[in-house]
Amino acid sequence: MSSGFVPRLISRYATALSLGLTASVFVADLFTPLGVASGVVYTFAVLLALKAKAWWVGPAVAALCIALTVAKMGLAPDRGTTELWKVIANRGLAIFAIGMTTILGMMRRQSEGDRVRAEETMRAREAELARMGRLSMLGQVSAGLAHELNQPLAAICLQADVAAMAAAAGPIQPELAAALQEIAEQSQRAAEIVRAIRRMARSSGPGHDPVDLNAAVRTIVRLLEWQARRANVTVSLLLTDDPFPWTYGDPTQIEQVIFNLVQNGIEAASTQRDGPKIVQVETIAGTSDMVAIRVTDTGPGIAEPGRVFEQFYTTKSDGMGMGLAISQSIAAAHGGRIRAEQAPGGGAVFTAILPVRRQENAAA
Amino acid sequence: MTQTIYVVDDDEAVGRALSSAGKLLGHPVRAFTSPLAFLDAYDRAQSGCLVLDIKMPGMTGLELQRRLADEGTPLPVVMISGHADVRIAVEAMTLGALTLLEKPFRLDELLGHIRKALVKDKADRTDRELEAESSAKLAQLTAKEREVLELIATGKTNREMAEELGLSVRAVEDRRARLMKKVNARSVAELVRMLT
Repeated sequence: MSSGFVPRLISRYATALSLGLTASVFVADLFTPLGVASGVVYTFAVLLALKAKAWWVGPAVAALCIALTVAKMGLAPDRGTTELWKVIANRGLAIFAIGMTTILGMMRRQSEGDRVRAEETMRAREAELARMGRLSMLGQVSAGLAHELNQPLAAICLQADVAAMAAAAGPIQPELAAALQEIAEQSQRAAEIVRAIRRMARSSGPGHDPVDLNAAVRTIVRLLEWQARRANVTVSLLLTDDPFPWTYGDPTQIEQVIFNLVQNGIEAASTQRDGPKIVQVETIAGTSDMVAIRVTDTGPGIAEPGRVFEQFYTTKSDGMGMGLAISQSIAAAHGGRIRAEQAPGGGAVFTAILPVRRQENAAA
Repeated sequence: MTQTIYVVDDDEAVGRALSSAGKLLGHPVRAFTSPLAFLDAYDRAQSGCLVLDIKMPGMTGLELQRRLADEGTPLPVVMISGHADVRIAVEAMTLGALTLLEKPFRLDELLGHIRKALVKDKADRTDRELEAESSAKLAQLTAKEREVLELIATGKTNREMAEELGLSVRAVEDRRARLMKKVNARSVAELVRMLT
């Protein structure tokens, strides 16, 4: 991630640099007496090699360095006044340092790789949720359009039929009669298209799978963790203990609602200059047949509580104003609803209420 | 007897279209944009039918239908709806709607159902008149004659009735003849029909 010039240069040419360093150390080693601990400098070559993209470069350079450390004893055995045991201990220490550097470096590479992969998985999951969000937004917009177009289309279809029938009965120019007939048929065709869209929007109702809200909240909060960390916001969970009654419906849609609420909370809390930046997520087993998720933030609160669920209403500079509208329609489709309130401390409280899964519901 | 086609739809353009469609049948058409306006203007004695939208502000089509049924002056209803789901369709039919057309629909379809509705209203009104006539006649009977009438309806013979009421067979025959004359029934079958 670092974007400095030198680190970038090092990571790009790591292999070449480390081989160059190895060669220079070897030459220097050859021309110094055996008593000098010149082999220790090989560890820098190994550290460089560990920056290479391919994982095997580090161990390979390490092996080369160890071989050269040993080879020096045979090639230039002049040890001046130093005792032999000191020379051997000297070389042994160098080999130990090279080996340890390699092992520690490889371990670090491993954990870094795991972290990157975990982050990638989370990003992919988040992108998927965002894509689903865009899709359901598209669905809602087209369903709304189809609904609005239906009334005028009904009037047009009927009037066109009436006109065509009246034309067929009386003496009228044949072109006019044909035109009226054409209008009647084409308006009917438009009506068919609108009907198909409406049918599609209707058929995509929520599923009837059991959904564990506690698990869903944990998943979403884990997903949003890095966003919260980046925004310096603390997300705290207050989950009602298991066995928490399950709700039923479409798990992805319900996750989407939680995602929207928690993400809004994080964004709201992050805009606070001073004071704590906290988002609290609770699951509540309310009455016998309803459960709720409550998301409380320490943000600026709700400017117009009556409008937050409207389509295209937003207070964010880069917002579409669809998140809460979609969440509300998902909740409604599941037989629940979302309430927006001002928190006593000044932030916002969003409560999504969903019906408990009962046996007869489970059978449906 | 002329029959009127009533149209109630809150969308004026749809209302106008339905009006011009209805006029093709040669009947007068009266269009309203709200159920309350219709209830004010509707002449209960006038035969006709009702083309009714379901979703309207103030009072839904289903509520209007229920209101007319409660008043005892139902009109055959052709329901129309922009978004009919099964639940609404079932409710409309239970309340006596002939059909439920989903907007947009073809003219032929609409006219066919309006024709059926008009025929049904004529028959319904005749039935209701006969019924009213019968109950007026039955109201003239004395309590004792009424007693005999109910026994006749259960299929009892004169002898059985005499036994049950503690009267002579002759007295029962007298009462029976009197009540048949009062209600102007020629046969027992006709008499029983009045009761139902």
